[in-house]
Amino acid sequence: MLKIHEQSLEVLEKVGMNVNHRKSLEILAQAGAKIDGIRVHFPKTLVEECLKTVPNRIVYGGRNLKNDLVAEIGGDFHTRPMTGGEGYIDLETRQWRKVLTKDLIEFTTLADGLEQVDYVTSIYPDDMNLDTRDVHILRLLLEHSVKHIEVQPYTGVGVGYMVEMIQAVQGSAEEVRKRPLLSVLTSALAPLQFLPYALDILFTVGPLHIPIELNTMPIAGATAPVTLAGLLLQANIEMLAGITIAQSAFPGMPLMYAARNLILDPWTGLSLMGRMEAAMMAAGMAQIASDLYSMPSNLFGPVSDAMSADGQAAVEHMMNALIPALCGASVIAGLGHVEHCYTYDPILLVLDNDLIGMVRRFMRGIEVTDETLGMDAIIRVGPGGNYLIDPHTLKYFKSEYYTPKTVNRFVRNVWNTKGKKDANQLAKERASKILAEHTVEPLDPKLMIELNKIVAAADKAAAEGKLTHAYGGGSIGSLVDVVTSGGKV
Amino acid sequence: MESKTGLVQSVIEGDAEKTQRIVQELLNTGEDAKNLLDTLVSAMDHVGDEWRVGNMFIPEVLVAARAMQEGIKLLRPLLSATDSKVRGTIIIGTVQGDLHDIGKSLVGMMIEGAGFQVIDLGVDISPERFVQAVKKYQPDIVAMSTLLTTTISYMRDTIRSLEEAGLRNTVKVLVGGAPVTPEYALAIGSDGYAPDGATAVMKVRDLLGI
Repeated sequence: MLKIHEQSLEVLEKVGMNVNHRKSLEILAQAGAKIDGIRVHFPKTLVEECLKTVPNRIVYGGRNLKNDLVAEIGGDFHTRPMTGGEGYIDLETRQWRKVLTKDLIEFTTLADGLEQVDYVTSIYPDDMNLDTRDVHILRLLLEHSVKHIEVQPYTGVGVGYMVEMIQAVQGSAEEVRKRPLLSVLTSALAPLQFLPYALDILFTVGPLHIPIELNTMPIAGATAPVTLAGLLLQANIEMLAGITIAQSAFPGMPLMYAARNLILDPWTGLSLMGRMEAAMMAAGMAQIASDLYSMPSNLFGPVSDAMSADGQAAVEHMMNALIPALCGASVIAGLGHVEHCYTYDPILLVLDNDLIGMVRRFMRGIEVTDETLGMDAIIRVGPGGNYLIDPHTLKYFKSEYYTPKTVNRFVRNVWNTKGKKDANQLAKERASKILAEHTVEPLDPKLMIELNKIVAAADKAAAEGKLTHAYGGGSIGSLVDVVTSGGKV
Repeated sequence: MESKTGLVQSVIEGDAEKTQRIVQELLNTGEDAKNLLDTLVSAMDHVGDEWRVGNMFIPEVLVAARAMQEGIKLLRPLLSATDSKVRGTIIIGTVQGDLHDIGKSLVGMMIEGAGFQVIDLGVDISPERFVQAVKKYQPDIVAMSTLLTTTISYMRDTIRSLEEAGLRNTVKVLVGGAPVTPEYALAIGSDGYAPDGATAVMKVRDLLGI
């Protein structure tokens, strides 16, 4: 593992990264990096200094205190659904379509209502104005969930409006800093690049220390070495570059080590993620983050290449959730998705809820005490007796077991009379029940008006072609043109 | 001053000691024994309902049943012969050649929990022993269990033995266990079939018209 660190530093110094962002280049130059066009050579000492200021504990605020989460090394893991998918499988008809606004609301309501889903994420409807979609999505997420929100902006331009909305909800910049209701995903582009929008996002949320899920998604065999170790090395290089930029600009800024991986399928050419090797790489990333850098990690996660909630999805989701959890991941991401991060399946979200319940049970381990060993009970019951109503049974039969809600626990004859439902049908019924019964505490009407004003301002600016990168955040790095020599997009 | 509500609660909580104490207190204040019996049974009906919808679990049902039985013990000497015959009597056993115990015991305890008197004959019960038990206890229902396909035919043999002894018309027969199907139960002339404890309780009620 130490070799990965040393080789990362070596590559960052010798080869460096393309950082296509003026403000970042200025700050890195001041910090002592060698700049050549958009190519940044990171001195080892600078990277190591920046690693010292990365927090090892991140607070994820909820709309109320009850939903606050803490991500820290050695702590329990948290969960979130996938961000960024564009397809949706209809709950009733099971037909695929492009995500609609009503799907965003349905999926978010489910995520808010499911007890094992800790926070909610942005989903991208097709029936919205694409220029200001990020801003509209955030308002809908705020309306339909009280849990922490993570967004994955596809452009830097809307983020300022989003920060302003979060300040409105939380009342002050101080409160946002203390327990940010929003976190934001931004990403390196493998191999070894940062695009302008990615760092615009950083510089917009940085002043308020809104947590960044620092992502990279190299494809083994295409945009990263084909070997598992090679992908880990390159992803780590990209992580360290992101950490160095963020900590140089905003020391102490909360960052999540969110290296992910895809695997080029040599037959179809697709980038797949459901494989066992994907889970193994996630395990490696979790260990690198916690053991090398004491950083909370945010990793996939129940991911799959299946087309909908089926046997393949079940297998791939379980191994991809359990393995990184075992290796110390702080956030297990990707709930409710199929088709390599492209499609949401609400039924799978409900099934994943139970899957996470099982993983959490596993992580709790086997408690061994004099009391749980039950020697007294064994002596009490003796040969030929039974434990059905022994006090030891009554004390522990509930707390020792996680009971999934969407599995069958019948003999066949009873199952027949109950309508022969499979897990998908049980999950569908639970989804319908949550959608019918779950209520989200409404936002204050005055606040709603304020949020609508911010959204309207974004729409107006977009209509006038004036969407500005500098909105809200103040010190935004402006775009520089992609330099053809190294900045191929 | 304890109330009948408190009595119901103590059964639901499975607190045998408290149940007995409240029964005694209410008897001391002149409460009618038959009324208290009805209260205990209705408390257990509530437990049964909660269990069927998944709000209570088998260990809790069994411990509630035990509390109810402890309460009934105090009432029995005070009840008339008709009143004390709680709902009905069931004899239960695992058939000849089969030593599986826990499933049968569980079903027996669940039926007992629903307010019936259950006599558990044990395991490896031959047709002759079932016949003797019917003569001795004069039950309303004979319940048989087996886990093995190799011993399932003893269910048919037991029913035949009851017929030969002229007792078949005096009892209802209920069968269950992993290899048993509703079709098999019908074919051997059983009155009912139950795949699990939950259904067994319902079938017992059905067979006795409760």
